Amino acid sequence: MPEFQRRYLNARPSLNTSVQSQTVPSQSVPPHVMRSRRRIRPPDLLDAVRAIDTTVDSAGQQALINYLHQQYEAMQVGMLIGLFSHCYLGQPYVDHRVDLAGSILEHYTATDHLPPQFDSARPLARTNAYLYIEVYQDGHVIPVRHDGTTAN
Amino acid sequence: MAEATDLSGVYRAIRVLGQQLGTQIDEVGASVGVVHHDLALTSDELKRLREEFNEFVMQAEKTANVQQSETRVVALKAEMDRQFGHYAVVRRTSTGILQAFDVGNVSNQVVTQVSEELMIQTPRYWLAPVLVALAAWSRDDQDMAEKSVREAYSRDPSKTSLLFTLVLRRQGRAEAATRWLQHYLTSLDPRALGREFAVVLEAVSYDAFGVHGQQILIHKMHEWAKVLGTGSDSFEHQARNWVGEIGMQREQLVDHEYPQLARLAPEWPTIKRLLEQASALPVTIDKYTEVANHVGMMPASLEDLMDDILDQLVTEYDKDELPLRRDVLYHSSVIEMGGDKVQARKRADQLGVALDASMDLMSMQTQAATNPELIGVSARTQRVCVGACHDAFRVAVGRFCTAYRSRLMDSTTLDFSPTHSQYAETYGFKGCRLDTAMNEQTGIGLLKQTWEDTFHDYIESVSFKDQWYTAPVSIAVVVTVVAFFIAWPAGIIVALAGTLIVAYLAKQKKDQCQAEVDKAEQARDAAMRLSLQMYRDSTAQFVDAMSLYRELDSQEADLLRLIDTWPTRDQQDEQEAI
Repeated sequence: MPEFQRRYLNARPSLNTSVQSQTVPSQSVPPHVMRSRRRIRPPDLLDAVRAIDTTVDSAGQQALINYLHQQYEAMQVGMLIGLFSHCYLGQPYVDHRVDLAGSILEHYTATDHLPPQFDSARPLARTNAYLYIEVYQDGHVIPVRHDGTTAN
Repeated sequence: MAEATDLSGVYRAIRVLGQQLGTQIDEVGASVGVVHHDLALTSDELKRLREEFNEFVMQAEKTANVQQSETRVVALKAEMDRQFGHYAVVRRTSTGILQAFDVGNVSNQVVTQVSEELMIQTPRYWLAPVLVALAAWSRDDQDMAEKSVREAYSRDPSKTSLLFTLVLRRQGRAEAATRWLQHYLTSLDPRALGREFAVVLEAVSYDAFGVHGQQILIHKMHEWAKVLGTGSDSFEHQARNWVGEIGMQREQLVDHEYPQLARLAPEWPTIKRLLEQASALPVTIDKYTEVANHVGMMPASLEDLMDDILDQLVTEYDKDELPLRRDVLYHSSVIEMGGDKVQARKRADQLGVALDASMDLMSMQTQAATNPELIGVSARTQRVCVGACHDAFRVAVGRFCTAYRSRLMDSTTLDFSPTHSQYAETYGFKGCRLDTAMNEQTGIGLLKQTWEDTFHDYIESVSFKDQWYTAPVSIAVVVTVVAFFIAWPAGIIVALAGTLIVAYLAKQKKDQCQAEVDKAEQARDAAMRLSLQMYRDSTAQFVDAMSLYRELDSQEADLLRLIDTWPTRDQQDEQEAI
């Protein structure tokens, strides 16, 4: 087990402890929208996101994307650009993006360049702590855990 | 020819005149110097005089300030005595009656008479009807007690309910005390809680008012939190404080645990930071599990503290008196600071804070939850407060983890620089960048190839080259030609000797070069082996580091579970939310 040590006399590390989160919105978001974004995502929606990788026919995928689009509209969470998550299709794909407005599902390899808004979501898709990551027009990036709770 | 005129007398006279003039000019110069000196002296004296005068004026002003303040303090105290002097009588009487209740040596009749007189003499003061109520209570006059309590409550709901909460608890009437506790909590403003609230919080957390009392307080704190608003600035502030608190639990990773990775990976600082940040999760779990499981008996000092609050409630100044009290404090400070009004204002402001120290609920909760010692509450109260602000704690955990996870990498570069080993420095390694995501055989192949290239070039550079002959042969030819010019037999001898010397030196140089080549050939394998070992070690260390990271990082779920199952969470509130 690697060795961790407290500094002398139990003093705290002097490094800056403030967290420069990349998930903070660049524009102000109304409080009621923020509250909606913090709510637990319903199980049906989570199942739909999980099914994206396992649904092979394009009609089925389209139906899932439409369903997600409707669900998010009903939740009133503001302008959602898309969902980003780890891709389980295997090599060479590592992650994928679901564009809800354009009904597009796009898989990416590790060397592919993403649309700039999704850059900060990519490292988060590497961890298996989140089922997927929501990327909003206002710059807010919200990781959603497997149980539907949000980490923002 | 004209007769020569003797001008020597004139010259002498002019010289004397010049000397006299010089002397006089010197004298005038000296006089000017003296005058200048005198003037400077006068100027200095004037300056000093002005300083002394200013000082005198300032001192006089200060003395006048002190005198004015002394007069003002007397006047203010007289005013206070005139306006609120009778309050002091009520305070003294209240303390006396409470003590008499404890001892039980005063008749109800006397208590009733004294309290009713004070009621008439001190209109508007909350404590007077409280005394009447206590007297009525002691003689079982329910009607009178209720009337008086209503009056006291309308005059100052917060103080009246806190006083009855404490008095009834002292008398062992738990149920009634809890009811009054509820009234007390209802009367509070969550934006400005007094210092006494921290003590009440502490008492409630020790079940001083029973389990029901604790539930009432927890529920009220949740209600206040809702009023202050989730998503509001204060919630954000609370969440930020929690992020800071989790960040404080980070441990420090010692570099020598991953020596090769630390040496070769340019991203090592990020990897190290990831591990350190993630290490905060188990430490936070340990810290707060201990808080959650804390069971402690109510310390005896808490009983004393509650008595102190009761004493303070009875004896402290009423808010009507505060403006006058502040004036008195300021003027007393002026006297204390010798008439310096600026210093006096600072002192009065500092002391004034203590007169109405208050804190908003969110700050008090967060302080009690993260730094209980700062506001002097125990682990038990900390436990209640963590439960009260679990929303902010939960949000903070999410943000803290998201922040460091946003720097997570799949693989790292391994930079085999020209200085990565002693061999690399000696043989001028060409440099090679590998990646931990690379197939191991590909990595090994690249590293070997770079070493091969390096040694090829090195051997090439140290091998014997025919160009070496140019310099010694040229010298030998020049010397031989010179010898031929001197005498041809000497030329022949020098030519032979030169050939032998050049051949000998070439042999020596060839041997030396061959030794270098042999040495390099021998080192080639060792150098390659060392770099390959470093490559394998650093790859393995990266795998280890990431495995440890995942183990630490996965504890977010445990920390969230701890928060979600916190023992003092408001279950009633949760049900309402569902």
